[in-house]
Amino acid sequence: MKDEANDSKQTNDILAKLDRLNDRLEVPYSRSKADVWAAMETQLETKAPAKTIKLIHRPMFRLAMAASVLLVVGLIGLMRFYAVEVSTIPGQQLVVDLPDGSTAQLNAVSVVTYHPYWWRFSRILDFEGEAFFEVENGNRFSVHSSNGSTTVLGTSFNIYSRDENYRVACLTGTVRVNENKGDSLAILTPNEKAELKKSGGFEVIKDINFKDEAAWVDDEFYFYNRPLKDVLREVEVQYGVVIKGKDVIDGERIYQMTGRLIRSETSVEDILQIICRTFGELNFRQAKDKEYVILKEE
Amino acid sequence: MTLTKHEFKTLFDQHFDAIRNYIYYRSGDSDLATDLAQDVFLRLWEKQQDYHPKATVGLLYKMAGDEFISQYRRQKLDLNYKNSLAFEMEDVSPEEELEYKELQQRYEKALAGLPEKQRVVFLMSRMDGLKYHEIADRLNISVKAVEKRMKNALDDLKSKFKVR
Repeated sequence: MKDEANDSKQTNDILAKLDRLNDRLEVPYSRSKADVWAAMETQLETKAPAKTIKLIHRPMFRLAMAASVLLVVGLIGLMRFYAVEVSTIPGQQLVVDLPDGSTAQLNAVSVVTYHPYWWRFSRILDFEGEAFFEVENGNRFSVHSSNGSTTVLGTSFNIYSRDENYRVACLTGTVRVNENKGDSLAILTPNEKAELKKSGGFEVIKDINFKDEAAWVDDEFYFYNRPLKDVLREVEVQYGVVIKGKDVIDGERIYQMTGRLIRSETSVEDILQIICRTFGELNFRQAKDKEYVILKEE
Repeated sequence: MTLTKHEFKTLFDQHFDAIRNYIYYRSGDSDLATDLAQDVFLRLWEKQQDYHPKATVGLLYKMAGDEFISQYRRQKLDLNYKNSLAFEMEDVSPEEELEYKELQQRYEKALAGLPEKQRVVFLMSRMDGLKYHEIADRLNISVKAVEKRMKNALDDLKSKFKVR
């Protein structure tokens, strides 16, 4: 007990001593508080209230924004409007592979235009001439020509669009054909054909032989009651020649012909001879290289 | 309401010494303590925060502590050896001087031997005369923790100063 009391007395003594010491002790700072304030005050004056510039208000940011928007718009524009045009010269046939695996087999003197980078968004192509299309299943597939438009989902069909003629024949699936002027339309199922009439509107012919309609695909000519003018036009296109004097067949007599020929086994002269012999009163002569003249014998 | 310059000056007058001492108690480097304390006040001013008397003082201690830690890491100060605490004596009569000088040396050595947390609490209490709850508020610890650190520091000092 005595020890403990002694101990606590000693402790208190020590603490009292230390506290007296503490009162006399100071931390030896080299700079006084006033010095520090003086050093700081100058910096306080120059401190303008913090100016916050939002990120979107920085000139560079705006420029970058504008640039990226332009870039994106430009890129989309490029994708949208970049077009590929494929055309065939007389006597040439060509198969065009479209981005989704669909194909367009072009007959001679035909032209097709499409947008390869926009293809996945809309399968639209501009077309003039004659071609056989095989379309992969997918979104609407449209072929626009000057006289009409053909819309399908996934089928195979043949389009003939030259001058004022417009014919579409369907091999598989369903094909919708629209007239460009006027609003008549035709829905075709396999082995049906729609032909644009001179007076407007479509004439739908059922149970056609597609092989005949698109005989050109098999390197053949096939005509069934075709006006002679169309036949001569086809000869021009397939052989790359010019045939003059077609006015002579504009008379009262209706020149129509039917026939089938293998193109590679027949020359221009052979064909013209066959035609002239068919009608008896016609003849032809070669004016110069790749130019022929049709004559009517009175 | 952001901190006005007048409020800032008041804050500085009231707390600069305590903040500077706090860093000194931790580091034992008086120049570092002055620089860091000035830095902390400047940074507080630049923050342009709202002024809440109590929270702002707590923030000052927090910033001072963080600043010290980052300095400490950067310079890898060896506090216990290079920068032991050193005080200056004032108002001492010649006859007392000898006794106090001797005591002061033992005291400084004993303080340097204390763990940092105990030393800081002990000196804030004894040198700066802060109450336990004030220390607890500023260091963001509980009053119980302050009491415990004080008790441990006192026990340690007692054993070192015991007259045999």
